[in-house]
Amino acid sequence: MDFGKLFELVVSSALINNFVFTMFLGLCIFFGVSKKMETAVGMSITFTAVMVVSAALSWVVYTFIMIPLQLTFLKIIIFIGIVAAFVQSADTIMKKVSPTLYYKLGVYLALITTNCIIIAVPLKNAGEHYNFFESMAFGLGSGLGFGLALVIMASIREKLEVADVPAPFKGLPISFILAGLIALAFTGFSGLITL
Amino acid sequence: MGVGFLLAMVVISFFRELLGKGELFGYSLIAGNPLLIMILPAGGFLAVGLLMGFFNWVDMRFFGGKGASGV
Repeated sequence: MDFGKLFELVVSSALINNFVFTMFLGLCIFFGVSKKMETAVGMSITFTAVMVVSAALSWVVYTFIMIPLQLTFLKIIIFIGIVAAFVQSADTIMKKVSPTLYYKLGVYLALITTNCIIIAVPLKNAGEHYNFFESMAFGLGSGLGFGLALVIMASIREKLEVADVPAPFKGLPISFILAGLIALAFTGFSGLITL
Repeated sequence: MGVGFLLAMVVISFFRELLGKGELFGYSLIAGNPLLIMILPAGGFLAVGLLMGFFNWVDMRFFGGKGASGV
């Protein structure tokens, strides 16, 4: 287990190739959930947990079932199926085991299935032929990067609600411009690690 | 809905390519250096935000609408 490579993968997927600001993935959830800090934090924790487990499950299915049976052309549909099944089962199990946590998370657990990142990470893992720990590290880094993006956005958007924004820009347009400025800041990370 | 998406993409890329590279369809249109930021990912967000604001302004000013309040 090469810790250097794992750390490099976490940093690169969290900061350098941040999924929201550099690769434009997960934007629907990003703009929808980042209005309040509470929802942003809840969503980012849930997403990171689901992402790590989904990356692990997808790797296992890809390596032990799809490659031997030569079904690699069915990547997309099988990975989406795994994520949907996992989210559904987590939903059901959580409802029985800890109802308080379930009601606290509310609808976010189901919303994760519509996040583009959740399918992008297993596809990238399959394409680059990462091993098990590298896939999980990549998933963890992407979850951390998404959470960072959400928290930064939420903290500024909360203040934008009471600021004096011109009428045509109220609501979503100013949020896009804000995301552009944060993305500009994240451009400073590019070239930090040459993979 | 698909045609609307197509038009939106054409408008955004028109804006970004004109300012970011100074060319359209390979013909160089501006004198001097282009704005590099428009081609970077940050420029995509900025272009969409500014265009949304512009469309809202046109809606409010000329068509008496109230603008989309967004998500």
